[in-house]
Amino acid sequence: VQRPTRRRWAALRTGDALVVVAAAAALASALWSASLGLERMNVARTYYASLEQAEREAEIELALGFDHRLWSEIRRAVRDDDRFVVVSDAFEQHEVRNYAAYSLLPAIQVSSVEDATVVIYWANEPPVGSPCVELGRNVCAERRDRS
Amino acid sequence: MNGTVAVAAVVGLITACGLGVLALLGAASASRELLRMSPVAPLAGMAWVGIAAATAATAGIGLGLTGLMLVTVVTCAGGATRLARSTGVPAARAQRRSGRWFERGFAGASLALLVVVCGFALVTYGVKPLVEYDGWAMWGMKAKAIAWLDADPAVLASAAYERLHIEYPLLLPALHALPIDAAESFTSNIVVVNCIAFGLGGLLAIWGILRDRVRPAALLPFVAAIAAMPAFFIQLGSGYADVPVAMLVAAGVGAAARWLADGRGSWLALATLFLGASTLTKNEGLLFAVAVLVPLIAVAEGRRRVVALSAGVVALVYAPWRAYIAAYDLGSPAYDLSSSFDPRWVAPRLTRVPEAVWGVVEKAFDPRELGFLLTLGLAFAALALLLGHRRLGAFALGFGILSLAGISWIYVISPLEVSSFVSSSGSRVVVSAIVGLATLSPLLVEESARTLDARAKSRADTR
Repeated sequence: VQRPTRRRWAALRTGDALVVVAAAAALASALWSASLGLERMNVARTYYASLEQAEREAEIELALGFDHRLWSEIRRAVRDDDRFVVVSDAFEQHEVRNYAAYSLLPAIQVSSVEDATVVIYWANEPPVGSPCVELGRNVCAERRDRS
Repeated sequence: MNGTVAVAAVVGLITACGLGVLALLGAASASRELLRMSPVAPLAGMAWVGIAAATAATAGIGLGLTGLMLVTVVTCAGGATRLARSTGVPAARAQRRSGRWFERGFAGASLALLVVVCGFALVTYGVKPLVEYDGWAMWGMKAKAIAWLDADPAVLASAAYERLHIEYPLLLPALHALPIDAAESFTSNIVVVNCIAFGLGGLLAIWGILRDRVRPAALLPFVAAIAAMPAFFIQLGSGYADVPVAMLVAAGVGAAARWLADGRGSWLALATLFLGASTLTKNEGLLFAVAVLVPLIAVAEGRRRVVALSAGVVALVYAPWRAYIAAYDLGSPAYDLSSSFDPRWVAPRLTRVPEAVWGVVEKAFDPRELGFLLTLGLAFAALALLLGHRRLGAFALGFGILSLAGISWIYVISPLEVSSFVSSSGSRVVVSAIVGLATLSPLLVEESARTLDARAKSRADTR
């Protein structure tokens, strides 16, 4: 016949065994994951820490294969209170419009030339006689007076 | 103001607001209890302020720092009043016992791993800009528009922006807009750091929700396993909304499980808050809220009316966004859950079911992104079912199966090609289901261990 304390110890061990198994399994998952995750984070940290602040902000342009100097010119040409439209039939037209929508805020992108104060021609010829100011190769901006 | 400092200041204010929310929802009936619940405060504040900011954004109003301060003051005043009037007895605190050597070992090792992983993530993402496409195109763009243009529908609901997925809800960018407003300038790293803060708030909330019911040796290894899985910090660092919505779903499912186990109404109120916020964070949030509430209503025998009330509140929180989508006719190019009710749309797509299910299962079990958390979660839910904690086990299994089935359904009804859609988004969308199950796992283990101990004790006593 077991003594009461020994019985209680035996009773505790069943639940504890489950906790040990669960904790060991979760910890194994955590360690396995950490070995993979820390390595990937380290690659990112090493790269981004080596860049200057301005270079980091230009990373999207690098990822999209855009020319950073050209986009700096575009940002200079478009004012905060402008409404702009990108006219382009180029292969990358959607990336250009999407990035312009993000990058040129608080200037607002509009759908039609009629609503725009600035028209950006991207790899598209502006109309003949348009006062389009060249910003880079195949890209120019035309300021329109909506009054 | 420096971007990181701005995020820290805003998170501080939101945490104060979160303390007010906890008191207001009755999660604490005395100041000491509020202190004990304080780890839940950052995420509760993000959910509360996020709902307010996202709802204001649908009305074309940017909450801004002034609005945040106002919400914080009003919430804290309400919470303080409720706390002062409270006559309720503080919830009994589980007797703290000093763990045995192996328990201390597991808890210590997990805590050390958590410190290493979170510290490394803070260092890494303190310098990382937005680079991944949806990070800047969807979430960064909306955050800027809310901060600088008072959520102008000329951006957030305009055809000129439709390729930037404007059909996704506004809670997360409305929260990002607050530190942008505080910093008075924009660097994309603000969005990244704010996402990391969201993730850390979520980890703290999981710990805070379960810590007085689950021993540290069972709880901390699971929290560490969530934080360490590559999908967690790497996705947070991309600025995507999948991990933030996963943290809200996890906190919601955890609080709902506590309500099942304890019966205290404030847990259900908290679950309602988190699930309501999840519906405004990503379109899939609605699906996960349903995946929590349906099994909850099924197992909450005798208390179904109050779960139905909770579901009603979640629907009410979601309603303004639904109205916004309808008012501006924002289509959903990737999928529209309402098309599930159109037999002519669904019938020809049923042949896609095997490919969709297999694709989701493959992503959900991927150990290189998510560790072994799904396997463990399913195993411990089944064990709880077998050992007699049927309601909790059935709730966990129901949530896991429904959420994964719901994700698969998205791929079935989508107009996009299944395999490419699964491969581009599957590993992100499954995170909510995995983190939700991983949050329930320590509670399932603890309850099963208690049942085993009680059975062994009663056997020993009857001998």
